[in-house]
Amino acid sequence: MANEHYILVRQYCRRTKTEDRFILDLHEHGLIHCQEIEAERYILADEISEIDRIHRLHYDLGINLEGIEALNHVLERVRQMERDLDHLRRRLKLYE
Amino acid sequence: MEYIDYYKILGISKDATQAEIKKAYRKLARKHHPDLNPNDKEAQLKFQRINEANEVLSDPEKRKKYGKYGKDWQHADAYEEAQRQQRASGNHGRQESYARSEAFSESEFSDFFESMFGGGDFGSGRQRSSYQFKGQDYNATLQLKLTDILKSQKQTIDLGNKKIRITIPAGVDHGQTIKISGYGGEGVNGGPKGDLYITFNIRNNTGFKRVGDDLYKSVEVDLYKALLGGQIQLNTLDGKVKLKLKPETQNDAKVKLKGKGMPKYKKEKEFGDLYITYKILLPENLNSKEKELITQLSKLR
Repeated sequence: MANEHYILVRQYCRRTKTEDRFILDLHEHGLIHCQEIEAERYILADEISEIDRIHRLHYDLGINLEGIEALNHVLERVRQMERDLDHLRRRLKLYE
Repeated sequence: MEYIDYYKILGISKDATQAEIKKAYRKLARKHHPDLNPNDKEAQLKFQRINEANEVLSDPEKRKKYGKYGKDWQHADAYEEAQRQQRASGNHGRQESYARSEAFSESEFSDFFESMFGGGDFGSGRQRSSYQFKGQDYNATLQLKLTDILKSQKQTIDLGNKKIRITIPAGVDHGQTIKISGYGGEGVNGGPKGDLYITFNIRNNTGFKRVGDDLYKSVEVDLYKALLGGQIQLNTLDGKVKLKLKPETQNDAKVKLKGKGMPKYKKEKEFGDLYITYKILLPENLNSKEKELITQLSKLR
């Protein structure tokens, strides 16, 4: 059922004492994907971990959303490099 | 258990102001935060200590207690007991806050911290402190043999409080993590359940080397078979195969056996390849007759 996957932004913000504006900003920066269904705004349950992560970076570490966008890009590059490194290590083992 | 100098951890003086503490904490946290250092256990440990130092020093009550009992922490027990009684009589929201945090915070505080302040029921940096919504994510490692993942199979995983049965897709990679949505901790305040992350630790119990979906193996061939050609028999993961060896096969020559590698993850009926490298064995302990024949042979060339 769709209800299992979507969470009302209103409800999420009330329960977690998060400002609506914060969720909207994340959406506008393309960091999460809100859905509007019958004039109500929803977030995907799957994106809550991501919202939590951005919340920590923003409020605990004082990084603005532009900085988080840049960080995400760099982190993705780091992850890709780690995958490449792992692959190369395994290939290297063929010759050891 | 050792005394921990929280001022030293944050690199500040004992008379640091709240603003200085916050600044020092943020500066160090930005460097060591687990969200910025994925899969780095050392950074994670460092961050826990920085976080702990901040928990204590940014809270005037705790800072006072730390200052008073810090170096003499063993005697803080009596104080702690009095505090506990006080709490028990007053705070109704307490029970919930314990339940919420114990799942993730137990190992995140040092023994020193726990002996002075009790089990950490303060927000740790890993989770948003007071307003958690989604349940906690669980991480588990599953050990399997390479021969266990040639076919998709069901396996029961014991999560402590419950057992779940999951299908492990054939061809899962060593170190790969899969997410099983909704099998983590219970949500809080009507939030969804957390997720379960399973990381596979695949022990290679075969003579093949694995790189992605492909397998590699070196096969020894004697000199005469390499020179004159012939047939060799080889065990693959799905049975024996006969390989025709070309005459004059060179050392380190490779052949590819298409589709004899690992099953491809979530691609049914697709397989990687098996690469065979021939290692040609030279005869040893030549007798005089053999030496004579090889000398003759060398003269012919």
